[in-house]
Amino acid sequence: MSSEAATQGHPKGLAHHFETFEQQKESSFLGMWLFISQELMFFGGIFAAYVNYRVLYPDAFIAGSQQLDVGIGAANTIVLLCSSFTMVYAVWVAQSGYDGRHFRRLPVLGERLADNRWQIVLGLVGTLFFGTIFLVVKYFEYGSKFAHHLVPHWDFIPPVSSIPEPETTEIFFSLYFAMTGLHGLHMVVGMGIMVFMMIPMALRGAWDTNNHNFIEGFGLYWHFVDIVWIFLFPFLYLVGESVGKIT
Amino acid sequence: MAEHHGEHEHRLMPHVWNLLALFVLTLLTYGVALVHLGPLADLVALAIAFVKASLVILVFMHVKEASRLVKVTAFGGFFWVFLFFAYLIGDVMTRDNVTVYEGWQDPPRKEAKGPPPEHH
Repeated sequence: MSSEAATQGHPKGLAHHFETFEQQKESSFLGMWLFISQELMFFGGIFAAYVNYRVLYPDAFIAGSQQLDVGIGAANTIVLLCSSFTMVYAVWVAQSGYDGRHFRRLPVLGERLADNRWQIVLGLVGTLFFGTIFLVVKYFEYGSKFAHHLVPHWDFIPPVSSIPEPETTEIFFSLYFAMTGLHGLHMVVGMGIMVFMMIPMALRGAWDTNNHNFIEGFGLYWHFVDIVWIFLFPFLYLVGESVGKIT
Repeated sequence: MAEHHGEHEHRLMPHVWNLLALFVLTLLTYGVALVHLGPLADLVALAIAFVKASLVILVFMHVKEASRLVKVTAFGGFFWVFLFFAYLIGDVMTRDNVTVYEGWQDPPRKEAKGPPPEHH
């Protein structure tokens, strides 16, 4: 596409159906935000199920939430925020054309990292690193639910007995697995795109200061996944902290 | 780092401050949760989550610097979720409040027989 465009006197990185880079960028962002809007409807549905059952069985949701470890949830929030920052760093490098000159003095990999392409890769690898930590923590959290017989439809024993309908705690754990599972799936998809598409694209110099819409659009997706977690954390982990322990 | 670069449109430091603000808000929501605020706890946790999401949207997702069209699109998506939840909560939380007046009788059900009567 780019070689064909170049023969027609079109600038590198500007698709033939756009007049200017501004127009190309605007069109790319608008499309990405429309995609995110439909993702909002997608996640909105499962959050609506949560709100509905939370109103119907408030005690069960408090009791269920108290089985989760708030410290782990908060730590994972910090980890995901860090991954958002490394993502925004990669986007910033692509936007500004930063050449990584401050990294030259590093004893290890210094010469390698003093390069715009490798700086983008650094941001992406950082995002993958924090994303992996998040998923590993989630793996151990899921493991502890299996160990404590808290897996709906599989091996579920109500963790409390003093509330009116203890078996309704199963609804909370159904939603817990569905919501965190859907969120985790989005992370896995995003990490796949980073490993198999974006790191190769960054290394072959697919982006410059004029056209980096792919990485910036992906950044929007990654931050959106972060926003979903920002709401999942109070919805799932903090509910039980509002009152004393239910037994 | 960004200051040395010359390009004033793309600065890194706002993102660093934004990250620190998000850390502080995460610790705040965690701390507030440990206080056992009762019914207020949900409101405070939601309010903090809204502030955090807004910071991510405006700074990390560059909506602050985006065109009006992108701003409206981004706002529209989240506003739809707000309307959805407003009506949903309005429904499920008020179902027991519906008053049936004394003397009210259900209208007699019509037996469904044959084709519907013709009107002239």
